[in-house]
Parts: sequence; structure tokens; C-alpha cells
Amino acid sequence: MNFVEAIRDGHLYQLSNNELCYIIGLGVNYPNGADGSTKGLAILYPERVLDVPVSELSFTGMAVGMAAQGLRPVVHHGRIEFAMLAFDQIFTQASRWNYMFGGDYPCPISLRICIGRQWGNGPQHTANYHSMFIQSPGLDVFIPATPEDVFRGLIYSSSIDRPSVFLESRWLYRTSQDFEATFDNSQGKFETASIYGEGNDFTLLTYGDGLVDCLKFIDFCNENYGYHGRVICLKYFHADLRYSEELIQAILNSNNVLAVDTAPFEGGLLASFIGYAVTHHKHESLKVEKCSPPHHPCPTSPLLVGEYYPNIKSIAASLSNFGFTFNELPELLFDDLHVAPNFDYSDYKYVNIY
Amino acid sequence: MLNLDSSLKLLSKMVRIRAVEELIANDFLNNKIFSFLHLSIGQESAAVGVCSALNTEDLVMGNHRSHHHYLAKGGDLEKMIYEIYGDSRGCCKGFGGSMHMLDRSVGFVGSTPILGSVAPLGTGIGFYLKATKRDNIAVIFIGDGAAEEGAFYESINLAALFKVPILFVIEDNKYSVISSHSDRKSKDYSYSKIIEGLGATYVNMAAKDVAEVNSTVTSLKAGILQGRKPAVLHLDVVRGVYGHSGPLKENAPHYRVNDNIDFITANDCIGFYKDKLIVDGGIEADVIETLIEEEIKEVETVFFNVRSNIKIRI
Repeated sequence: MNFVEAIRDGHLYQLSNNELCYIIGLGVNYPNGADGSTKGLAILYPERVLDVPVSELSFTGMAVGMAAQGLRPVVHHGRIEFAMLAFDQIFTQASRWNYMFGGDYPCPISLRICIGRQWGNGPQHTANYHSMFIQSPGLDVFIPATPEDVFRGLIYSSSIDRPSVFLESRWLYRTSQDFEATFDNSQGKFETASIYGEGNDFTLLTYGDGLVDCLKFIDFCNENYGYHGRVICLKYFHADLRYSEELIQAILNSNNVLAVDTAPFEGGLLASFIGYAVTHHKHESLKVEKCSPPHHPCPTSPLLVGEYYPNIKSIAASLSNFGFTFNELPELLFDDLHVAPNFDYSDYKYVNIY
Repeated sequence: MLNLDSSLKLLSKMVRIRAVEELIANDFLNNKIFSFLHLSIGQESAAVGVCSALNTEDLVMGNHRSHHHYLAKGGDLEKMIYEIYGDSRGCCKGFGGSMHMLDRSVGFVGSTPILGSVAPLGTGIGFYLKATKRDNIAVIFIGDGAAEEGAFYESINLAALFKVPILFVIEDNKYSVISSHSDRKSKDYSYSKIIEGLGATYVNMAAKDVAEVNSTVTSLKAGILQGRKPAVLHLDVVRGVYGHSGPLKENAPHYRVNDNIDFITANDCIGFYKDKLIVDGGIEADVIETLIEEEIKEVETVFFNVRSNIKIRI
């Protein structure tokens, strides 16, 4: 199942299990709506899969109002830059709703917001503002990295009463994974991160679309250099408790941490997590390096994009600051840098932490 | 012919709102209140006229200036006072303050101060009423400043498109803080062309007569439910002597040039309705005065009782 199919299956579960659920967004009723992630749903549920005027602020606000009265709307924004027109409703209304009214007044809106890299999209279609969402209490934030993450996340989000935001990387839409498409919500929790690999020479800390290159790098090191590392991939941030104790312990118990961020590092999600983890435990020391894009927007031309995002070579270069040596690195092809990956996660084992 | 009982109820409700706001204003000036405050004094007839035409199950949302909407819809007076003073017995347990009124038991489903924000929220509330097949409408109150935000226009279009049962009420007190309409709109600006052009019913009237507002809303509500078409009620109200925020009497040059203190007094909605009941309703003046005095006394009793229970810098 690929990433897009996993979203669609998640929506099918939501629509068929709860008649209060609505899918709202520009073109979600098209034959290949929302990049295929809502394909065919409007035929099955014409009253609850709704195309809307190009009024991002107001259709999002309408969904906030619906949610506050007990409906379960899921709103889709095709790019973060358009969702930003609705930030008043997402941040100032939905995230604070239950809090500002003194509790017992939930607002279970769910938002799917496409974010980050895509070829040819340029400075105004590829921003990575994950950290803004993390900084706002009141929103459950999901950053799915795999088809299984997004499927399970959508189903989990239907069971909670807090507003939830999925920061969805379109770059990952062609990735695939074999997994059992069922999810038992009875445990009442969702993994805050997953750890891939068991090596302890180094730890790559990443999230979302950073995972693919991190896994490729782990394979490359195992095969060519005998360095054995692991990846901690952040996946879910609870509205009230952003970083769990287990997650903080996991990072503090890691050797040679390399933050692999697909957003500029300054003020970003990984910088703030590392800062929190280190200061949370009486100023523990942690050896950290970073591998991230430069602090400017992503340009459009592939020639200018070049190696803007982290890749096997730049991860190796950053890791060499810890003393690892890499004599020979693979040549990166155009497709490695500029085309969304067909990566298959199926053979990668992981352990969830909560 | 006025129905005596309901007319007196409209009057006493307006008096009740003004009485408590005057008491609150006084404490605010004496640094006893640490919640941002926007008073509705002068605009009571808009809230009472609209809300008295609604059922409990009609759902209302307000804005930063919503004490009158909350009380007119039947919101709990004690909980409002506690909330404004930041006490945990308040309607939002002190988390919200004056700009967050809430009493879901009477269908006042919240107020939120980001102006036009309430228009899409109300559209969603109306959507919910329609989706759950209720014979009720959503009502939102915004000011003439908020009605300049895009969210308002977008929401009318959304509501008309989805046939959402909603009444948008503009309380037009002529000022955004102290900017007048001519500072903010071209001389060709037309509410009716815009709103009717978006597919909603548009009615503009003075809110001075609370009973007229009531009967207009009664027929608008019926039209919204039968015609499956949203409506905008544009009420011309007169801001009392207080300014935009807090009980501060703003004295900026060129502010309130035409509507000076004499105008405000002459057009006061409570004074107007009192006179109307005497002249047209044939009610003895002293009956009305007694009713007003009793209402004020009752509010004072509740107010000072609640206030005596509050520990925050009283």
C-alpha cells in the first residue's frame, strides 16, 4: 500500500465508522481528489465529502464551528502556504477553544496540511513550518513518515477530542509499505517516535520526509563501512505534553546524535526538541551535530536546489565531525535529489516509543 | 398594540444589562478588574431585540463585546461577574475573562474576540444545526469593523452555498476604535449590493426600538428556515459615552463630532423604549420607574453578593 492509498483507507474508515465525519477541502470530491487521497470518496459519501469555495480561512473556520458542536470534520489543505490563510482559525480558535472556555468544550477538528519539499514548487510552496505547530499548545501534531503512520494516525485522531494536525509530506506519497491496515484504539495512545535499527555508533534524529534518506544512509554504512547506527524518527506530539519522558531518555542515551532536518535548523523542530531534552535533565551533555538545508527558502530550478536537502553525502559529511571517516561516497543521481522516492519501508524493523 | 408583559420584559432585560455593566465599569476604573473589557452600554436593544426572538436551541456566538449578547440569551449573571473578576466560579472558570462569555445551557455557545473570526465559526454552527436536522438557526454578532474582514464575506458565500441557517448581525456603532466609516470605506461602499450579491437577505434598520428588532428577527428567522437562505441584519446602534475598550471616555479630536453627548442621550435605546411604553403603551411613568428601580436593585444585590465572595484584589 502506498502513502496515498493509506490516507484514503484511513478516510474510508473514518467516514464509514462515524456519520458525523466530514471531509472538507478544495477539490476533495474530484475523481483524483487531494492527489488521490480522497479518490472516489465523494461517490460513496456525497453529503459528507465537500468541495468548498477558495476561502481557506472561512471553510477552516466553518469546520472549527462544526467540530465545537460535535461533528468530526477533516479539513485538507494542499499546501501549508494556503493553510496559513486559516491560521487564525487553526491557532487562535481551534487550538485554544477548550482551554479558553474553561474545559469540557472540545473541538475535535482534524487538519491535513501538506508541507515541505516537492520538485518544481519553489519558495512559496515548500515551506517547512512544523515548529510553529509544535509551539502552539492545544494541537495534537502528527508528522507521518510512512504509510502505516498516516493510516494509524488518521484512525487514532478520530478517537480523540482534541484538534489534530497532520503535517503531511507530499514527497512521501509514492513510498510504500506492507502492513496490516487495522488499528486498535483501545490502548489510547500513539507512538511519539519510532526507532529504526539497533546500532549504537551514531543516532540520526529526524522526522517526516527525513526518514527515507536516513534509512538509506544506515544501509549504506552497514554495507560499506561497518558503522552501525539507528534512526529516531519523531512522529507524534501530544497537545499537552510535547516530549515524553521516554523520548527524552531515548535521545539522552544516544551516542553521536546527528539531527537530520529537512527544514532550516534555526528555530526548527529538532533544534527545539534537543534544546528541551538537554535542559530538561539538569543540563545533560549530548554530542550533537546537524545536517539541514541552509537558511533560505527552497528555490524552484533543480540547478539551484542542488543538494539543498539532506542526502547520503551530506549526512556522511556531518557525521564525520564525530570522527567517522568515509573514503568514498556514492554519486548522487538527478533522481536521488529531485524526484519523490518510491521507497519501500516494508523490510525496516522499528520499535515504537510513547 | 404592545403586549404589556413582553414589552416590560424587554425593558427590564435592557436595564439589567446596563446596570451590571455600570457596576463593572466602576470597578474597572478602580483597578479591581484585570480582564480586558468592552462595554455594550448604548447597544442593549440590539442584543435583547435579537435574542428575545430566539429559542434556547438557537445557537448564538458573540465577540469581544458580548456581555449584552450573553445576558440577553439568558446567560447566568453570577457566572459572568465571576468570570470578569477572574474567579474559578466564572462561566469559563477564569480562563477566558470578559471576552469569552459562554453559557451552553441557554444556547450561548461562546464569544471570541478576533472580530470577523466568529463569522466562519457561526457558519459551522449553522452547518451543524442543518446537518442534525434541527429547526433552529445560528446567530452571530459582529461589529461594523469586523464586517470589513474577509472572513465575513467569505462566510456569507459559504452559508449561501451550503444553505446554512444563519443570521449574521452587524451591530454598527459607527466606530472601529475611533475610526469612522468614512475613514474606512469609500463613499460608494454598499452593504446591500455586496450582501445581496453574495446570496443573502439584507435588512438595515435602527436598533433603537427593541420591539421592532424583535419582530424583524422573528420574521428573518422564519425566512432563513423556510427559504434556506442566510440573512444579514445590519443594526444601527448608538455607542454610549464610553469608548471602544474599557470604560474610558475617549476624547480624540474629530471623534464623535456629530453624535455628541446630547445625541447619545436623545437616542438612548432604554430612554426611547421607556418613553414609547408610556406614550404608545399607556403605562404610567411611575410604574416604569419602579420596574427599573427594582431591576437595578436586584442586579446590585446579585453583584455585591458575588463580589463579596471574590478574593482577587477587591
